[in-house]
Amino acid sequence: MSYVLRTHHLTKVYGGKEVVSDVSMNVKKGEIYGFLGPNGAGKTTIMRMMTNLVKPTSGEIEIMGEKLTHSSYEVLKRMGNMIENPVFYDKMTAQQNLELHCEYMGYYNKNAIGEALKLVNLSNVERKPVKEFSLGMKQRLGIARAITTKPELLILDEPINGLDPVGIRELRDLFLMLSKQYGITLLISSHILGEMEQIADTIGVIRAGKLAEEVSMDAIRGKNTEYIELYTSDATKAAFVLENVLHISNFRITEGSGVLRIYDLKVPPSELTRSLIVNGVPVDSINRKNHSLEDYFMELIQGGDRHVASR
Amino acid sequence: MLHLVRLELRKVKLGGIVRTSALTLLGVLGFVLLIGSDEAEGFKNYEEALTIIEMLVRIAFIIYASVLLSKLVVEEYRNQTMALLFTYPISRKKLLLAKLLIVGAITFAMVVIGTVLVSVGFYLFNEKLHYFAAPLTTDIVKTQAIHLVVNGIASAGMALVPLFFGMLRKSVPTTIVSSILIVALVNASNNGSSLGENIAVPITLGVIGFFVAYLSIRNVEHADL
Repeated sequence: MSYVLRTHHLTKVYGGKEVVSDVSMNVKKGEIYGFLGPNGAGKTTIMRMMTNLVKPTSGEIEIMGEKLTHSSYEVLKRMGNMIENPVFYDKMTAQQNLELHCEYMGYYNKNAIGEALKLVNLSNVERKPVKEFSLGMKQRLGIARAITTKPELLILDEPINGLDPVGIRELRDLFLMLSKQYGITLLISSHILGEMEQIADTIGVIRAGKLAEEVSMDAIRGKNTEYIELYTSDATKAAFVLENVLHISNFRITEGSGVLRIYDLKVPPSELTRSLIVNGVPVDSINRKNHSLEDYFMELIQGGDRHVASR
Repeated sequence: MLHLVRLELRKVKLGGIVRTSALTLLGVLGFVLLIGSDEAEGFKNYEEALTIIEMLVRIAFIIYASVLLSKLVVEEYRNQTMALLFTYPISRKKLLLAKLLIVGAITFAMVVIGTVLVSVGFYLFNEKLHYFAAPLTTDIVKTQAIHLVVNGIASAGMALVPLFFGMLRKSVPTTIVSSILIVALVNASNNGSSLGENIAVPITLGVIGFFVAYLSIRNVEHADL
């Protein structure tokens, strides 16, 4: 398996505080790597280090087999990026901005700009200076700029920020298309779980500057657990019945809410309901559920110490 | 490098620079004619007139250079487009050097061309209005020409000094104010003799300017953005 991007014990200290600490991530060739974490977890700093804007305090970054140094200019040619809110030369039009970009990148293909604008669905903006663009349009233009030069590695920081649901969907399709058809490797950061879940092949979860988990989506899907959710007004009684009548011990009472999660599925829900009612437990509702990916990640992100400890 | 310079110029729009410069020169010419029309305090000969013209043009374009520095360097840092430039496969030093080259070259060119144009203008007016009778000799022209080229180079250097102050806090006002202070300091006249009259002073400041320009881009490769 070849890696397009790897970091080895990457650390960045700002004013004595470790903003990024000991991050070793591995992005495989051709995959979409979802970089997940709450705001301020260090995602942007890591991406800035990858694009050579910020220099690591220690550790190193390896892109396409080469170690990134302050003078690694050649490798930058093969990358496209959009870090934070994309910035442009405001008085110029979209076209002029992209032309300038291509000049600086040393990329000369007349059709590329038009194609890129079309891919992100940015039309009728020929005469408009970028300062008149909405946030969503700037975001699209930023992505267009990142893909104009047909990079091998695309680094996008919160690319769906400021987009409406339709726009988000369009971009999701675009990312998948870039990955599948052009074989571009994408590193996409987001704090929105649902989005990552739908497109990523691998997910890296960052929390408080540390890489909490790096796992392929297939593996996560395998970890998915099913459970039965039971709503009742008498949780104590329900717990008693479960344990002593049905001999189920693998369940959890969600604090104070009268919701029980039963992870032991040997007793079918119909049987379960019957026993509970027979024993006088008021059942408001009972559902079979999937432990969603969201739950999984929320635990990881919000100090999911259980998971971290069990690794 | 030439390519980078050309790309930079696309951003600032040369037309605007030329227009501003032309207006500035007209202003200087008007001012000089006003001084000339004062019979008591006005010029007595061409040496005096040309020296004043050169000084005024120099002041104007060193200050204008700080505006260019603000646009090309300080503002690019402020609105983050510098970060965009630094993700390009081009050395940061080269990117900045291209910018400084533009400022230096425009300052030099404008000081030289501007002084010549205003001087010619003044000459034409003087031929008609006769502020003073002393003739313009080739000797005067020669001395002034050498003086002008040296001062042009020195001005180009001096024009870069405000970058140092502006970059401390990435502030446009600081850049412009520091350039005004610098020209005020250099050209402040004290009993008729200003620091600028001694050719060694502008040259020294010019050298310092180039050095400061070097300082402000020296560490750029390792700086975080």
